[in-house]
Formats: sequence, C-alpha cells, structure tokens
Amino acid sequence: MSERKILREPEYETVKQVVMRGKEEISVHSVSACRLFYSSPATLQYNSPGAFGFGVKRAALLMPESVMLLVSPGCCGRISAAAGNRDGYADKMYYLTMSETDLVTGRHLSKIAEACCEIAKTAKPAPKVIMVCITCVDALLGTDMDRVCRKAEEAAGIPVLPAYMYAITREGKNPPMVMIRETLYSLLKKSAQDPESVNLLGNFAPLQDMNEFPVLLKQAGFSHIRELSACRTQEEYQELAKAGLNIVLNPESRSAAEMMRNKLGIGYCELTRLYSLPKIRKQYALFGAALGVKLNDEAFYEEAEQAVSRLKAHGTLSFAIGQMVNANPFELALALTGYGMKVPMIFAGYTAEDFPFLRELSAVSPETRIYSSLDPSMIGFDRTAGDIDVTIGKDAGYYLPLSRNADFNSVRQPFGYRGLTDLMNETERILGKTEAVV
Amino acid sequence: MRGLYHYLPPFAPDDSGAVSVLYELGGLVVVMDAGGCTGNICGFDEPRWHTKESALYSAGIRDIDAIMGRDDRLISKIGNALRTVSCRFIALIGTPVPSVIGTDYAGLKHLLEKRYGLPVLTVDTTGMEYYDRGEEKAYKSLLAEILKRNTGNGTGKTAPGEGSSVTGIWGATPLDFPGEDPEAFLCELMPELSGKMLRCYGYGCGIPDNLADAERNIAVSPAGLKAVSVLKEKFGTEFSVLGGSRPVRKEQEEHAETPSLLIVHQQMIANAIRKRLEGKGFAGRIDVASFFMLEPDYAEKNDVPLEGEGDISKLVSERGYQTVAGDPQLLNAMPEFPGRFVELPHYAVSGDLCGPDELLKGIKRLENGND
Repeated sequence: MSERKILREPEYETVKQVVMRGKEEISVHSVSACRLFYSSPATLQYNSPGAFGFGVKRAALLMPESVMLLVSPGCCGRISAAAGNRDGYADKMYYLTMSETDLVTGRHLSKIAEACCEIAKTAKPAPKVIMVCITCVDALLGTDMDRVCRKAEEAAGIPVLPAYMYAITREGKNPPMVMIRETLYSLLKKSAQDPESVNLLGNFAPLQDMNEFPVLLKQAGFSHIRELSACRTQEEYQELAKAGLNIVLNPESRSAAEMMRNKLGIGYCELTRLYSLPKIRKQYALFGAALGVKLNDEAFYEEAEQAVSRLKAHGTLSFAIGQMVNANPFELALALTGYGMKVPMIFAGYTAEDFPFLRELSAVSPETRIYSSLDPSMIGFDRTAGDIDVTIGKDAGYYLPLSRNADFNSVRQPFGYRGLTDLMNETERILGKTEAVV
Repeated sequence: MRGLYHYLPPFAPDDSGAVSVLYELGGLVVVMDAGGCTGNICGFDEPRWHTKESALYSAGIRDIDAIMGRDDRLISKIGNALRTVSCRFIALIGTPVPSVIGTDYAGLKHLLEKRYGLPVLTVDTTGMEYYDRGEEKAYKSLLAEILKRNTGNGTGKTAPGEGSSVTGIWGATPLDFPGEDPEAFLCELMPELSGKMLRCYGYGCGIPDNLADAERNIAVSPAGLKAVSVLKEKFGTEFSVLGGSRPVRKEQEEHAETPSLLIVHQQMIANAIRKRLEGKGFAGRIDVASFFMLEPDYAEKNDVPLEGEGDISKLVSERGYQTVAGDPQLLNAMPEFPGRFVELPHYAVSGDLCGPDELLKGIKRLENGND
C-alpha cells in the first residue's frame, strides 16, 4: 500500500440522521449494490461463500441424509473445500464444474441427471435426497431448475431439490437464504396434526442448552418441540409435518412458514430475539396470552436481571457492535443503552425492518455512528482507536482490535433470557481479563 | 463420470490467479462479481488479504445491473471508491457474470480511462479456467499497459540490464509459492540462485518503471513464460526457466527406465524438483503430471497433463509408480495407491496454507529415499 494514500475518512451516518431521513430513503451506505464492496477480513465472516455460520450450501445440507451436487463454474465451489472441512460437510459435497461451452449451450444441465444417478449409486452411505446447488450464472440464464431437478429425480430414483446460491439476487424479493429455508421444508408431506407438537423455524442449529423457551413451551402444553437441525433421518424430518404450530424465530423463515401454512395447514407466529430485559418479558407475556396461558418465567427473569446488574456494576462502559453476532445489532445497542451503557459505534447495514429499533435508539443515543462494513471507505478505518471498552461481534473486533472482544456468534442459537444472561456473562468474562485481546 | 468431482476440491480459478498477480501493485482492483467471487479470493485464495492491505473490491453486480447492462453505474461506483483511496491504475477482473452477459471490456476501459485519467487493465477471466490462465492473462494485460507507456507505443528500446545485477522473477504468486519470502524459497529450491539479487515482481516487490532494468529474467511458472518472452522480444533480456529446459535424452533411455516417481505439481516447480533429484543421482524415471498448464517445451516425453480427478488414480495404477509426490488432497483421489506418498503441498489445489518449510521438507524426503 505504499503507493496508495487514503483520501478520506470512513463514511458513517448517525442514528439520528438515519431516522430523520426515514426508511423510505435508506442511504446508499446501507444498500450494498450501490457501491463497490470492500470485503475486509471483517466482512468475510458473512460476505463470502465460505462465510462462517450458514450459507446456502451448509444450510441445504441440513436436509437429513442428503448430499449436495454443486453445478457451477469452478470458482463458486472453490471455497467449499475449506469451509466444508471446517464445518464438517466436505464429505457430502460433489462438484460438477462447467465450462464456457456449457454456459453457451446449456450442456451442463443435461449432465445433472447423469451425475445424480452416479451419486445415488456410489455414495456411501446412500443418500436419500440430493440437493442441487446452482449459482449466479444460472440465475442469468434463467434456468428452470425445478424441471431439471424433476428429470434428475426420475433418473436417480430419490428426491432431487434445487438450492439457489444466487449472490446476484441478494437484495431481491426472494434472497437465497429465504429460498433455501422454503426448500428445506418442501419435502414435508401432509400429516395428521398433533396440537402438542410445535416446530421452531429459522435457526440452522438448535437453541442453546439450558434455554428457558422449551420449558415455557412445555408450560403452554407443547410436549414435542422440534427443530429441523436436530433431525438426523428422513423419518424424524417427516415428524415436523405433525406440528400444530410453527414458531418463526428468524424473519427469513417467514415465507417457509407461509408455505407450510398453505401446504400443510400449520399456522405460525413470530417471536423476535431480544436483549432488552423488559421486552423479553413482555414478548413472553404476549405469547402466553395468545396461547391462553400465563407463563411462569420468574426464575429466568431474575437470573437475567442479576446478570445485567453485574454488568451495571462496572459503571458506564462503551460498546461497539458488529453485524457478525447472534443479535440484531440495533436492538442490542438499544438494550445496552437501556442498561446505562454507551454505544458510540455500530458496524452494520440496516433495512426498513430495523427502523422500530432505530427510532427508539435515536431518542436515547442519537449520535451513535453507523458504519457500513462493506463501504469502500472502510479501507481507511483507523484500527488503532482504543476508546471503546467492549466490542461485540467478530467484525467489530476486527475494526477495533485494541478493545476487548466478545464474538457472541456461536452456532447454537441464543434466545430470550438465557441469551441475555449468556451475553452478560460473556461480557463479564472478557472484562475480567487483565489485558486486551488483540 | 467426467467432470464430476468428489475427492478433490475445485482448484484455484483464473480470477484468483489474476488478482494474485495484481494484488501488490498499487491498483484499484475490481472483481466483476456479485460478491461471492471476491469473497472466495479474499477469504481463501489470497492469503495476503489478512496480512497486507490492498484496494481490492467487488463490483457488487446485481441481476438488474446485468440484465440492463448498467455500465454507467459501475463507472460511478469506481469513481466513488477512487475518492477514498489513490491508486496507480484500475483493474477489472472478469468472473462468470461478465462472461455470461458479454461485458464489453474494451468499451469499459475506454470510458474509465477517459473519465478518471488512470490506466485501466482488463482481464477477461471467467471463473471457469484455472488460476494459471488468469495469471497469464493478468501479466499480458499489465505488460501491454506498461510497455505502451514506457516505450512510446512499443517503438523504443532500452538496452537490457546495463549495469544491473537484478534478476527478475515472473510467475510467482502465493498460489504456487508458499510463504512471505518467495526469493528465499527459490534460493532453497535452486541453490544456484543464491547470491543473486532476485526480484519477485508482484510478490514482495512492485514492478519497476523500466522493465528493461533486469539483467536477466526467470519464469518460475508456465504463467510467467509469456511475460519473459515479451521482455526478451522488446528489450532483448535473456530469460531462463525454473527447472531448466527439456533435456535431450535418447529415446531408448526413456523407455528403459522404470517409472519410479510421479511428481504432481505446478510444472516448473516439479521440473526443478526433478532436476535436483537427478542431480543427486536419483535412480529410476521421474515423471511430472499437472492439472494445470504443461508447456510442451519444458515437458519430458512421459510427462502428463491431468484433467479430472479420475485421471490421477488411472495414471498411477497404469504406470505402477512406486512413489507419488503431490498435494496431500491427491491421496483422497487414489485411496488404493499401495506405494509411498510424499506430501508436496500446493495451495492452488487444496488451499491448505503451508509454509515453505513444508514443501522443502517433502523435497528432502524425496532426496533421502525411503523413510
């Protein structure tokens, strides 16, 4: 970089500016397609085909007893080697790479059925489902993957489902992570419903251990609580169709829940992951009321309250929050502000759905700066700043390496009081360190 | 089935190769993708991303941009990025998306140069070839631009390397050459280079304004071969090739030898290893195979290009090699190989980051025979 000079400071907006402009005029800083992306090491955590957590490939392989055939130019599958080894799905991956001639003639599509047959015959253990993953080029070619998959299914004798890894439609009406959630539930067959069964939709890994939500659901009369990520076989998977209720824990699962309501007759409701103690309590009270029961959450509330009190005992701390975290960064900022903390910086893009939190945050912390990690100007971010006590999220930790960092991005998903308690405990743990984590 | 892979990962693609050439040269490098290809490069194929900053960006193309051909939008995004960081040039790196929509690189180059007054390199990679093709294209584009400016549209000529002791190295990137000190690694690999003032262009050092400055150039990969040939043609700078030229052997000699060792790697690294082993009296025939470019002028009669993952197990079983040396991932593709396997990590194959010591350790094991 000796030949380059940084010409301007990284761009940011304050929460107040964002709210004043309103959700109808979301800034270019938060709409990724409006500028070049800066794929800093911070953003690679979520802006890459090999991102940590769940992208389309890893998510699609949650289908029990499935393998994946990735049909794409070589570059799209390259990172699966590393991510697959790291996340334990490399053995389930097959690659059918395409050439320019394939693209021009569509020849690659005619090879899919043959490849699926070979996989069905030779893979050990024999797969019961093949997920065919396709990428941007087929989005542009307008490939009818449903038809291609039907043909492959007839040839291979097992279900073949499409998984669309279309980075090019990321901000579209049906982004890839929404579509894959629909696909994952598409093999469920209509079944007699059991009113004591409930599905939790949205997470790609089970709820964290010792979470109060299953306990509260049992209080509400649900004896069978199921999650897709816990299903190991197709038989267990089909049990999901028996649910009397789906609970959406991630908005990206809304369309999957809608599809299940139409196809299987399973109704759904939506709960939000929150870190504000009074809001968690209120949400549970409303949920209980909707079910016609009063949930006894006292012990969980008290435990979380004590954890918050321990954090408060440190005085007013300053936090920076990233996007690579098991939380909505704006809601988390609002919650921390409510506990008497300061949040001078957030590294995250925002959407219209974040405005309820942004509006509240604007009232209590209007000068909080929102940086978009992907903005080209972030190349000039001064990483030597040391006036933030705690960063939450790996990306925030990258930008402020001199501050203490809590990743708070486990695969197992936090929720409710236990989520808040764990975050407070994690913060407490890193504050206990005598030296900053660099 | 041909084209179906399970045991080997997809290898480093051409767009990664192109970026690896330009990474350290002070340009604004724009990968013409939706974000995923850049993520692959930054998060995986370009290990320098975590240690050495570069103005490398994704074009952030969306479906509607591709359908409507909104080049003006891309030009405006590049302008916005140029207000952030000063750069010597702009480089556009192709991916599958521009390949499908038939991006007019020449037109974009013209518009960008006119608008921003910077040289523009375009590399029409597709994401469908391997990294070495992308490296070769990037060198071609880079040299065309530099030579256009340095020699008055190619008409001038400077005397080669007068008074210079620099040996220019072309074709070295982290995808083949591990570690942060490629010159030191090359000296370990080829001790006769020790004591020379080596300059790995684009890998640890920039490219000099006067390309005639080097006393001599060395191509250390097939991807660097055209670059040194162009410089020989333009300036008369002599060049050599890592691992040397194809030795003249008698045909009966080649047939008489029992195939003993197969080295699967980048051709010129493999040739250099073969030369070392032969110099130390290795008994038996050493063949080279590669999934990547295999230049006929630097290949021996039994050297083989490989296409799919099935080729490697077929070759090994047909010829009955006692020893195979290559990236550890290759073992997955030949689980029934009964002989000795020596690890020679190759980042472009497995993407497992190793230091130069691990590659040198493998070479030492080959030199030491059975262990």
